[in-house]
Amino acid sequence: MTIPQCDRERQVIDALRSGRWSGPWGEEIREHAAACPVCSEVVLVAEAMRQADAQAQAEARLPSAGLVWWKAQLAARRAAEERAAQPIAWVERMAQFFGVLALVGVGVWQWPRLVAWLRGSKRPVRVPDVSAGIGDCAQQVFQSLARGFGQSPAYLLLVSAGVFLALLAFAAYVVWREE
Amino acid sequence: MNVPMREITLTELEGSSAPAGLAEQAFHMDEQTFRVFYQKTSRPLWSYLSRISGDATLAEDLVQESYYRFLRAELKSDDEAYQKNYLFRIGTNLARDHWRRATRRDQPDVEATEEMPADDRTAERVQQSSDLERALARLKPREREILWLAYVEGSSHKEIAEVIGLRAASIRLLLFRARRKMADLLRHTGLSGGSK
Repeated sequence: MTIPQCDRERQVIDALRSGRWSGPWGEEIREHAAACPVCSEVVLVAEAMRQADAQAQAEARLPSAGLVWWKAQLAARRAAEERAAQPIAWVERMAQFFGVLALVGVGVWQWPRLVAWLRGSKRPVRVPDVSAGIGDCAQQVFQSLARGFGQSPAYLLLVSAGVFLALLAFAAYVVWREE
Repeated sequence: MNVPMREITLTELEGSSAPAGLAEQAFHMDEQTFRVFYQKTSRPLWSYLSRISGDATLAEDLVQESYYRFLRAELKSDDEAYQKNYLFRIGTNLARDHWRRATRRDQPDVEATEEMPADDRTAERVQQSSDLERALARLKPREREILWLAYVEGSSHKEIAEVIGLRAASIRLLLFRARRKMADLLRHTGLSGGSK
């Protein structure tokens, strides 16, 4: 498709935008546009668009620059805070997991003593009969978990406790650094 | 009409959001520079967005969101023309994103395309407005964008291509078609009075 063109199209647009079009300096370009089908079409459309622009600018409802700046800063700060909180949230979740694992490990490891202590307590603590069953069950789960990692239960317990403490320390360091 | 700005996703704009950890550094402009830039660009941007969307309230929201994103963007140059084009590009993409969502909401089975038909609601809204607005409403959004950038903002083909995300080579043909369509509409509505 051949597009009709005129080399002076840019000059016509510039004259219209700068206001030279309607002044004495624009006489020559006006004469050209009147004779050139491409430029006359450009003038027709450009003037209509500029008229629409003038109408729109007259009814513009704009917030102040200060308000936009302030809101943008607020949004950026919020986004930065959310990003900064992401690793802490991850560390917290991991610490919770290893903490629970360590707790279960300690529970299994010290289950007989715990039950004895509860029974021997001065306060009337009632240990249900199923407590031994729960202890056995937890012990089995912990042992099979340890076997799954190819390690002894004691090793898993130590690692869990170690990771839990390390993550806790890391989270505390991150919070301290942020503050 | 209030636009839920948090839902807007700028799919086509490269690097519009600050990369992780750069939020603070991304404010390259100081407040004073921003105020000057805002004074120069806010009215043209509002005008552009209100005319291509046909909705003043939407334009207001889009203008604000455009500046938020502009301020957080990693600008490659301090050149004012570049920054203005970048701002218009953000605004154009936000408007397009809004149309896509509106199209999906209204017609879930119809895939939104770049060449969207003229917004029926826009056309309806401006039914009782001036002939000029009616003629504008009958253009496709992209035609309005191209004509506006070419004849109101005085952008070159390359600049228009950057703003609307097309190749510069395509702009000449698209601009010619849009201009011809608009000229026909203006002639039919009796707005072709000519210039002094």
